[in-house]
Amino acid sequence: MPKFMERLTLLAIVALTLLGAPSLAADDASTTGQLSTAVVEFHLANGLQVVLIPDHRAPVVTHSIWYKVGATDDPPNSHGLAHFLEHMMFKGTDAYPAGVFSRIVSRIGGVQNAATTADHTFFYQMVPKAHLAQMMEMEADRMVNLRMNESDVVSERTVILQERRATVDDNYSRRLFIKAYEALYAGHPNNTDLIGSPEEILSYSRDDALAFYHQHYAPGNAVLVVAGDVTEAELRELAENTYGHVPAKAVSPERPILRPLQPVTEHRVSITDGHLVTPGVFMIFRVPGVNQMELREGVALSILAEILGSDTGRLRQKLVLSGIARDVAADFDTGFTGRFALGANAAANVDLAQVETALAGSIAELREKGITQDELDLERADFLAGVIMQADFQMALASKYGTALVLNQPVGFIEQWIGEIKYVTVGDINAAARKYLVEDMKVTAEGWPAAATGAPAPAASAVK
Amino acid sequence: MAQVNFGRKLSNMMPGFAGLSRMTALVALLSTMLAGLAAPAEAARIQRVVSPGGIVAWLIESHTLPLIRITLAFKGGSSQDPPDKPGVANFAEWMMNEGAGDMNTAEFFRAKKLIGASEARQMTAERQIVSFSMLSEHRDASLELLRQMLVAPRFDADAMARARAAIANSIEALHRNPASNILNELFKVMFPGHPYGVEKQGTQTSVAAISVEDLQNYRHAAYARDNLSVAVVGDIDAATLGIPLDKVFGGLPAHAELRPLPVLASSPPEQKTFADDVKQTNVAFGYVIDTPLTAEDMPGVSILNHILSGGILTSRLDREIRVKRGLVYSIGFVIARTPKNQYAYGSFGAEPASAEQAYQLAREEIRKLAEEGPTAEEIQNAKTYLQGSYVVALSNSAGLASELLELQRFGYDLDAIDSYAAHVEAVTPEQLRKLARQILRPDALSRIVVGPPETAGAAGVTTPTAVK
Repeated sequence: MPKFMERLTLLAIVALTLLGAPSLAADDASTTGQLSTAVVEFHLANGLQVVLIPDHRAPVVTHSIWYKVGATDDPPNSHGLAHFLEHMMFKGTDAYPAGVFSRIVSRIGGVQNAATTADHTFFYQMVPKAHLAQMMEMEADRMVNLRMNESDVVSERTVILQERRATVDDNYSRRLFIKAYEALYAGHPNNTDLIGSPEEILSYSRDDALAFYHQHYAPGNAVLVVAGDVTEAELRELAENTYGHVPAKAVSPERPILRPLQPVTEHRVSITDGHLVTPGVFMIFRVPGVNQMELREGVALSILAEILGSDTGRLRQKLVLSGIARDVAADFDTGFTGRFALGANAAANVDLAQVETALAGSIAELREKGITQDELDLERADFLAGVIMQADFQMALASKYGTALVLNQPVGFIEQWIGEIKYVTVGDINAAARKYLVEDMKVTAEGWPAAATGAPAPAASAVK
Repeated sequence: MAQVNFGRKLSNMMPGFAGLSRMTALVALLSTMLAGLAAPAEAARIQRVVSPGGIVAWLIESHTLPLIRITLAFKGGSSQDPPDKPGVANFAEWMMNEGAGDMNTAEFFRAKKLIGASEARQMTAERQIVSFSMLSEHRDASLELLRQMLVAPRFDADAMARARAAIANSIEALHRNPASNILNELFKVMFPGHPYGVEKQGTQTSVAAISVEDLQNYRHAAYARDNLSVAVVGDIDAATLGIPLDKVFGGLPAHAELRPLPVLASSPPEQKTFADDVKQTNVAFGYVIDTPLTAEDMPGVSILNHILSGGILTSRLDREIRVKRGLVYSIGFVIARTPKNQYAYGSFGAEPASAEQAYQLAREEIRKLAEEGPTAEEIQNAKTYLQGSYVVALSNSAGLASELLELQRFGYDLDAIDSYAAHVEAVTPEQLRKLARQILRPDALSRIVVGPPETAGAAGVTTPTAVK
């Protein structure tokens, strides 16, 4: 998929529940009656939630820790601090000085990485099973014992500037989405790139980073998800002997933080970039997040995105096969806030206005006439096949659980989601489309090639 | 740091809200899968299966999950393009996904989706690779789709037009994005007059002229039974596999007709700079390795590669250029081997003012490793890395299938997976010092720089043109 069609999950940004729905954290063992017999869930006394997904096909484990802190928790005027802290987590403790953690993982042949999103920060290693204990010990250690040298703070700030140059400045797709988010999320932490501005990046101090760390990194604010060749008995013992020694600590303020959403400030944004060959247009709808939507509605929007944007979907039929677009996409991206987006890149010598008309027409037709049973059946089959295919990958399984649990969903949630896929109806999907794909919540984002042919065309405001 | 993204769109799996009042009965699907994974491991061993018709496949049985992955490769690739018509193989690869048999593009997509079959394709200068995944439940129907893909593509006029336009757009996009195109530009100067140095998508002119006949010529020449490697991992046993192999591949021509790939020769280093409207400078650098590498050399090559560039934050390049000095966000260097050729290349992005310094540091690290060799500690750490990471990489059926294909490509034995650790262990420091001198050649480096106009050097500056 071309860069311009980069999925919105790159910019998945936490928002705050409007309604303060009750947390569904499964802190009661009796809820495990709903779980698959294979998946195990328990809590340590210090509040750490632990999930085990056994996979004994190979002597390998995937060890991941998910912290309930992300870009949405950045202090005002210090955007990107959560992401900066993710980098600094590799800069050492007394027991494992800077670089030692990564060296150990490398030496044993592990795969390792970390990432920050709006909702969460996570760290993982995929290692031969014999090394799980050491991974847990080191990860538990840096959960509470992180030290930071001033010189590491300074050099890592410049590394992040490099990262920003590479992933934001020279990435027209991401810049366009940020503009759309500024309009969708005015006055809200979602309205800026999670990496922070260059000025903010250069202003991070050791004190600020440590304060943020002590505020958010605590066992009761984290989920440990382990997938792989380990038994429940083994994992319980390992967890007690490592993470179990981390003192409980209250996290304040509690997440998600309530912040109101303002009306969308602008309904059309655009950028121009010399790297584009043909223009493209996205429509991004702001939709409620997990705490404000029924499970059934979330599933409905998820399937709707496929009905629109997949290789068998409506947009391909209407825009690609007809020759007006060279590719199309649709995506439902959700966390504490949500977005439903669709878009297309114009084919050569096609007016962008024509592409936008076709996209808007697809939405209108959807709202008016709805979907067919055949469309639903096809995407349902695809989804269910995907469940099987993804079971092959420990990281995919760990991510499914990790991303749900950091949003305070119960561990049985994943299976509930699949259940809803089986039972969702045409009526459910039609209702979700009418309810959530509304003009008031929409921003149209245009990307134009630079003025090889003169000044870029003004925004295609003639289109409905 | 990058976010991991596996398998199908994760957004399909993103949670909505668990409405407490709408608890539905559990669906057995995920439970069944997870229960299977929790069962004790089966012994994984490679079986060499020969079908009644003589098709050879390497098989690893795994009956835990109800899925089968087939990865196959035909030798050929873009190196087979007529010299005056680059882009034929790439076009043919595209058309593999535009309908087959009596199903047009849309119908074929639908047919795959209905039964949970999926495919991915990759084309290089030397090979066409197809990875095909299917559910056990729909095995025979899925294999029939694979068969049609291989032997009965359609070349419908509207699909051809669509492919032509998309490829033309892709070529233009590369020309407007010299940073994205940097490796192609590097390979042009590293491999002059050799198929590796030719942009596999072709040119605007050549793509406009490619005909169905061109595509058929390539297919008939390359998609043949004596040119085929097959790897199968999953829920099928050796006794059952034979008949399906003949069904899928039996209709292919018996013999390929390929132009042999020339052996690379190193050429004098060149430098080129491109100016572009970017905030970061990208640099790519590389050279041809004249010393032929054998299978016996490869554990040592892997050790040296890891020491120089493999360990995140711990390799020589990462340590000196990212960790110590913060000059780059990522830097990589790869020593690549194909059955006949070997070469090395690397790249990084840096602040424009630091790009030159970062490059010189990289060159210096390559030189140091070539002249001094690795330390005992580095060697030990690299060995344990390779042994451990091999096990990790083979923890899913896609990784296994891919490895089975590579083992066949380079002529390894059936016990290669089991004997890998021992081969790595057996490499000596003397072997590594000798290998390092042979394959690490900092003075042979050619370099491509893509940066903002104000930092582009006076000589050799090229501004990308709109259309070629």
